[in-house]
Amino acid sequence: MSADAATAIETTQVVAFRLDGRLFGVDIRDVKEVNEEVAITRIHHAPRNVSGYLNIRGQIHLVVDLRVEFCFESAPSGPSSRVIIFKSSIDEPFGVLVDSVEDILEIDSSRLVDRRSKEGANDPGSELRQARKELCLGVYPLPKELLMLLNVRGILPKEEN
Amino acid sequence: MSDEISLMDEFLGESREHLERTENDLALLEREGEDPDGELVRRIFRAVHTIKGSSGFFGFVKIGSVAHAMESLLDRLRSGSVRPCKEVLDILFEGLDRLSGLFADIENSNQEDTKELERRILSLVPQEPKAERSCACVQKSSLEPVPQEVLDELPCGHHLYRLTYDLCAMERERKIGPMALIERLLSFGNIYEGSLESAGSRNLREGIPDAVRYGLLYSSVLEKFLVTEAVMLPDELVEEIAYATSSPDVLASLISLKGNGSAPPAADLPAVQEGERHSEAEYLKVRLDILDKLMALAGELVLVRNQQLMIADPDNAEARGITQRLDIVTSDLQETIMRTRMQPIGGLFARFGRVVRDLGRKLGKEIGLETVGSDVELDKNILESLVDPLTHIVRNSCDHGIEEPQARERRGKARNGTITLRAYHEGGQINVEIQDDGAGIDRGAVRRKVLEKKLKSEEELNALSDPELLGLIFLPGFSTSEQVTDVSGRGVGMDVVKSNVEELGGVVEIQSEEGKGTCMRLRLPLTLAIIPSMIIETCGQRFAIPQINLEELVKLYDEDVLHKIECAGAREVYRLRDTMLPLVQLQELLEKPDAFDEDTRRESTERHRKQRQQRHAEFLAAAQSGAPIPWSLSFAVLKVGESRFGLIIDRIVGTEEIVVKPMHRVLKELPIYSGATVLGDGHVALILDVQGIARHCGTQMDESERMGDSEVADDSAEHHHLLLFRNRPEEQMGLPLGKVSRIERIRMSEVESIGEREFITVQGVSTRLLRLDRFLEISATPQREEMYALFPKSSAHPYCLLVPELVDIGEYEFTMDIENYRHPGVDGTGLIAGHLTVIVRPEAIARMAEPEWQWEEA
Repeated sequence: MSADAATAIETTQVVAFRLDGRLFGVDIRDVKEVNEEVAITRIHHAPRNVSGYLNIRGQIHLVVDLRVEFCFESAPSGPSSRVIIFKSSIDEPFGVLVDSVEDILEIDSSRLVDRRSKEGANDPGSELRQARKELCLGVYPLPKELLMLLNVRGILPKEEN
Repeated sequence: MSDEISLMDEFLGESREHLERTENDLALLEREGEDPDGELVRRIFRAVHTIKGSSGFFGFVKIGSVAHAMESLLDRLRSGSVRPCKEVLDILFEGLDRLSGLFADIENSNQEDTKELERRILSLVPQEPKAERSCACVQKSSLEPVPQEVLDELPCGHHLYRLTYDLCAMERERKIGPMALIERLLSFGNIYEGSLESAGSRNLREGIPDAVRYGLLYSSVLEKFLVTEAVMLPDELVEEIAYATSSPDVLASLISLKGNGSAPPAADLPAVQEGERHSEAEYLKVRLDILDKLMALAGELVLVRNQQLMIADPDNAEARGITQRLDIVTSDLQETIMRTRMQPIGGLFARFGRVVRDLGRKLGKEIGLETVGSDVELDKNILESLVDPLTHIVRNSCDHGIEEPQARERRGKARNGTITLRAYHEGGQINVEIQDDGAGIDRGAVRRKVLEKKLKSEEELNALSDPELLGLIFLPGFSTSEQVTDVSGRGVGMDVVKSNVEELGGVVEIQSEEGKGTCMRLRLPLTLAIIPSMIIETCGQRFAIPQINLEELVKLYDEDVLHKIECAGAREVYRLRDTMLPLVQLQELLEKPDAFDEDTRRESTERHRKQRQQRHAEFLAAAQSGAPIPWSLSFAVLKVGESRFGLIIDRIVGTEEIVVKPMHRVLKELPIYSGATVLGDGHVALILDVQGIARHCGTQMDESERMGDSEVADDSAEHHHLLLFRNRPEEQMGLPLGKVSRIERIRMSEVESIGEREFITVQGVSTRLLRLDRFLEISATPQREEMYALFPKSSAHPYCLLVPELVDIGEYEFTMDIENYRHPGVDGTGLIAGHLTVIVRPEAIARMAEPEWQWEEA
């Protein structure tokens, strides 16, 4: 649904962030806020990609570690680490832990390359292909590097029913 | 439109409440027999009357006419011309059922045929000589005189109102013209007199006046609080001026009033109770989601308050004062909002009057219901979830508990049995008890049934204490009823009761004395949203444990850590008073996402034992060097139903009232958490699910791990003649004396070996030497030069057991526990002089060692 929306609209604003040096982005319309608070409570027995719980103004958010999601080496959160919190309309409260948040970029949706249809040499890396397909909407060529646009709704597993 | 829907909802909700209350009242009435409490009858009458009135308003004619027939009968009951005999009560119950049925499918209720029932109800209403007028008017204060003709014509049960409309405003604001208004009024009442007057000039040539006042006398069955909504007028423009009742005593008093002109005595005035209607007006219907939201906000405020308390500067008196007030106000607010969700349990109890009555009748038993503590309040959600478990237990009590009247008489009890529902507060939680004075639970039947259904073996049963035996009725697929009745005994039930209550964070306890009765106690939290908890720390992370699961805290110091924790097979146990308490390390639990099995437990038990020994050595060394290092171990004793286990934690932080937040949907399947909460410092803490942990670690299987803690268990304790020996200082073992022929002290240097097999020559016979640690799950036997060989009696093959240290020979009294340590080479375990002792079966060990030998079938 969001994939359609992304291609139908001419320009899209994305929040760009980095994981293991690589550039990623999510549609700004899905983002509620970017939080510097990274005092995350670990949840033992949770799936590996779950970083833990984070309290933001009394509301408990599930935080997904995108590094694990993309099979990067896990790294401790540093001073530039941020949690991107998504809007409550998407799912129960949750966000993603990223290495750093870069900027808000305006991208031309028509130039977005659906990664699944074109697996060129410019792909940001084969390990990314192993990540779940529904997570990636496509690759966007910036002047200096590529940005992978993520589908926020593909981060958490779908509800059973 | 939405107003109408909400009015309709209100009507349905209220009618349901009336039906429920009436059902209970009828059951009460039945118990009171021939001489009923007048107020009770009046209450039933009023409820049916209200249903009749409001159903007429919504056009549910069949409900109205059934209610009308019932009302007629109730009226006679009220006046005393009909006695509440069985026939009358039965038909009233039937009528009530019919009403419930009609309400259940309200849309199609008008298509139902209720004539026959109405006829039968009315057939019980005696025909009385027709009075000139069968009802009487009670006039209320009115500023303007009411014409006598109107009062005379007022139909029975109708209220007379004076309504004052501003027709212009009606047209303007409600878009209702005069004709539409009159039509609407006629749809649920009668109009008697109307008068029209326009404000100011009567000369309409000056244009339409600002206001046209339309005053009218209007009668309706609706009571005032309903009529104001129906006629679309604010309260102050509706004046109730009379009420026509059909009560003969009122009639009499009015006749006398007419006759001699004196005022009737005040006490004879009918109970057109302003007071009662007033009490209804004190309630306000609030939407549940708004309450939920309020509750959530109060929860947030508690968090803010907790944070504020933490950062408050203790030196700043002003700030401290403000913080204190914030603290008090928040607590009050939280408590008050919580109370909005609380409802008296009486409403739930009331349902059972009917259940017990019907079941008693069906089963041919005489059963009464008593309720105690109906005003105890519980969270609405908990109350709703209690319906099923309570129904089940009450049905069981009626069916299996209370005996037939003859049987009761034979036992010297009153013919009629009593089921008591009792609710009371205890230690910040609510206890709900269902007690009967029936036959009690037949232990023999429980045993038979368990064996028959192969839920447990004979040996396992023997090892159970009495409470544990009773606890078996919670096993899935259990039912003790000798024959299946349609009341209960379908084999589903008590296990569902247990899981329902546990889902609420509660526990079920049973007490039962054969011949005297059974008492089921449900211990429940006050509310699901905010719970008192203990905050503990492990792995540098804090966790909350609900107080309701917490029995006590134990801290062991110094060498007790080594000596008080014993190993029982694959398990670590602590002897808490006379109970063996299985221990679980929280840290270990957190590190192992897969459910524990026997191997996991054995591996960790062994590892912990080694760690403790190493720590002990360090402790001793430090103590000797004069710089002792303190050594301690804390664990929380947690209860799961009838069983307990100890959860070893690093540190106790304190207690806190926590606001429970459910787990995120993707984590719902994690068994060890029941939710999460935000602590005072803003960090998230997970709430441990004690039941889930017990399942995850497999502590729950070992209900028999508790030993000898009840009188009954003592009674069943057996006497054993044993030779006690030790493998290691903390591993005591025993051998039945009858199986030992002699003991020899041997030197290990004399032992010869062939491959894996070791032999010792005693009295010229080469005897196979068996090391216990090769066959049993015990620690490695320490190497010593001098050891003992135990020779078995009556063995066709020469063998002996090697043991490092003898303890004693004697007669010991203990209950053999076979559940605790199951192994072919072991008879069971027992508690001897405070030590867990493994009773060894030598012949089985020899058979394991030498399967080739010729063995007689044991």
